[in-house]
Order: sequence, then structure tokens, then C-alpha cells
Amino acid sequence: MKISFTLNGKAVTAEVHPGENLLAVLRRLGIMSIKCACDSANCGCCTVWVNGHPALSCAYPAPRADGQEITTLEALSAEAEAFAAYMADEGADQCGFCNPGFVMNVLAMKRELTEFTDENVKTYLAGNLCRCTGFASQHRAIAKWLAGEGKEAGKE
Amino acid sequence: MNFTDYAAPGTPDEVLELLKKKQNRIAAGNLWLRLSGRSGGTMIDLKNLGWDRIEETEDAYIIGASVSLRALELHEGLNRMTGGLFAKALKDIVGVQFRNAATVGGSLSMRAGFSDVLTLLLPLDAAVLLYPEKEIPLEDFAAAAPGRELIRGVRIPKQKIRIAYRAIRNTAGNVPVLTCAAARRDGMLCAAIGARPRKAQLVRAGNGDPQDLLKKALELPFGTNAAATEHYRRHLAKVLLERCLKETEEGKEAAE
Repeated sequence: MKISFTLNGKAVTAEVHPGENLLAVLRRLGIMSIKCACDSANCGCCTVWVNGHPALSCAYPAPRADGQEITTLEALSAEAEAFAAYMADEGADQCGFCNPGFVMNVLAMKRELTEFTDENVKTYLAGNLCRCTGFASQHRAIAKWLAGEGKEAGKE
Repeated sequence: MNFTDYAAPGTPDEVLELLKKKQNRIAAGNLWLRLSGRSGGTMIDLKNLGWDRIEETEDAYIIGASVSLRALELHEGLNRMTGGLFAKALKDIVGVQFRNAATVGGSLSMRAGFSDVLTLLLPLDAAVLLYPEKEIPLEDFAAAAPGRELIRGVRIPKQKIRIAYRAIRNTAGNVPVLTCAAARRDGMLCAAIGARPRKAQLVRAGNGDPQDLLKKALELPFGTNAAATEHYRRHLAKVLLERCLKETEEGKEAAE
């Protein structure tokens, strides 16, 4: 079946299988930032935005994307690059495999939350599993980023 | 689950027609369904039915079946009525992305033992709204075996209530090994205990006596699975219910 949706601001049409997930379709369209990691809606490596809200593309039925607005890391490159570089400078990363999904959710959090308490941030990012860092370095760096660069940039 | 067809009907009658075929399934959040081993049939998507809103009437909140758990978690009116309990009870379900997809209807139709949603809604005197028009107390709905009913929403009456919620997870983001909600309303005292690992069940205290409630709660059947033993769950139930009761004693009624 054929679906049409907006991908990173551009109208696209794709041929999808009725039982397929969005992740497979996006990768077929050349979107390589999203990863199929847990494939069970748990780890957040496949995070995209659907109509501006973070969603797990591994569980999102591809036909449901018809008419929706899908955003991936590729569309947020400048903002994402600045944040990812900050994380690297802070030594908050290790292998980087989870980074794309993690960055998507951090940027969604920055837009959605009004208060960046430690608890709010941890709760918001609980759906992004990192297999290397143990989260402590990530949370430390994010707290610094939100208190400095994030605070100045404010909500978009 | 590997569906061979997809349909997003515009009317509930079309959904009922599709449900006549055994292989066809309603995909709510598609989070658990996709992990099942079945293949074939039509994925029925409810996205065109307009059941993704929370309406407020004079005496109730009507929550559409397709409302996400995230929307429920953030809803001002429901949180005002319960002293912020919707946010507290739902925030530990996996992550924001998961809760943006998971729906109220999907959570209830599974009648899953580990459901935080079911445990939270039971003491609120909620009713399940089915299509064709039928309203069933959530307590009765939960007690029944999962069927192929079409849930259109949930009705939560506005009420003055003191309610508390606690759950224990072996690891953050995992399903709970025990859930507990206790509520005081109009001199009535009740509690829902879930993830025993059986589905949540409501118990009521005679004459609003907390000791009677505790006794009845601990008489519920508890079981052992890979996450926890029966003994541990019973112990948790006692501890969590005592804490919830203490909170409802100390707490103020948050609602109108």
C-alpha cells in the first residue's frame, strides 16, 4: 500500500507493507540516524518525532504515518550537532550508538518541559537506554547544558 | 505480529464489521500486539474515530479510548482531582516515547496483571464505555476475560477523593512487581492491588476500617513468577497499602 507523509519538511510517498513499522520504511528512505536496537519499544534508539512528539518508530505502524509529519535527527542537524558536541566535550558519551535517539528526546524535552528539575529530566529521558555510560555522565552533562546553553537558548 | 492488511475505518460500525473476522485485531499503541507471534489478518487502526480526546462534563471526565497515557499523565483536571496522582502513577511506564503511543483503551482491553492504569482507575469508580452504547463498571470489566469488545472510552466521575498510588519495580522502566492504590471517598475506603501477578482487584473496607481493608487486601490471591515470589508480593502489598493509607489519611481532598 502507498502512504504519503511529511518527512523532515518534505512531502514523500512510500510503498509500505501493512504490517511494517515506520523504522523500516524510514531506513529504506535513507534515514540512517534511527537504529533498530531492542526492537521491542524499550530502548529509544529509534526515536523520531510524530507531529512534534517523540515516538518509537520500531513500534509505530507504517500505514499510520499516512498524513503525519515525521521528523528525524537529519532535520535538526545544527541543533543536534551543537548538543552532541557538547556531550562529547563533557565526556558524557561512549560508543554513541544510542545518541541519535537520545538527542531527539533531549531536544523534544527542551521544547516540551517548562521546568528542568533533576527528576523531570530523568523521568523524561527514562525511555532512552544507554548500554555504556550508566547514565550518570549523561545526566551530569545535560544538567550543565540546560543550566547554561539550554537556559540561554530557552524553549524554541 | 505480521498483518497482511491495514484499515483505518471512519465509523465504529465498520470496526465491528472488521472484528467479525477472528484474525483481525485492533492495534492501539501497537506496543504489545507487535510482540505477539501471530501473523495474517487486518490491523484495525482507530485513528479516524476521533476517540483521542478527554472531554470534561459537569460531573465526569470522558477519556477516549485512543487517548495516550502521556495525555492522561499531563491532564490538568484529572491531576487536580487526584492531587497529581495521574502524573505520579504513569510516569514510570517505560518512557515518554512509549507513553505517547500507549493508549487508555489498549491498556484496559489487555486487562494485564502489571497494568498501572487499571490499578489507578479502579478506586476512582471508573466505567468502561463500549460501542455499541454500553457502560460497564471498570471493576466488572476487569474481572472478565479479554474479549473482542470495542472500547470507545472511560468515564471517571468527578469526585472529592483522597487517593494514593505506589508501585514497586525490580528495575526502572520495567513492569511493576506490585501496584497499589488506596482511596477515601464519602466515608468509604477502598484499595486496588495489582501485579500480584494477576490483574488488579478492588477491595472495600467495612465501615471504612483500615485494618479491615488491609485484611481483605492480603486475602487476595498472590502468585510467583520470574519477577517476584508470592511471599514477597504479599509483603509488598502490606507495606505499600499501609503507606497509601497513611498518605490518604494525611492528604487533603484535592478535588472539587
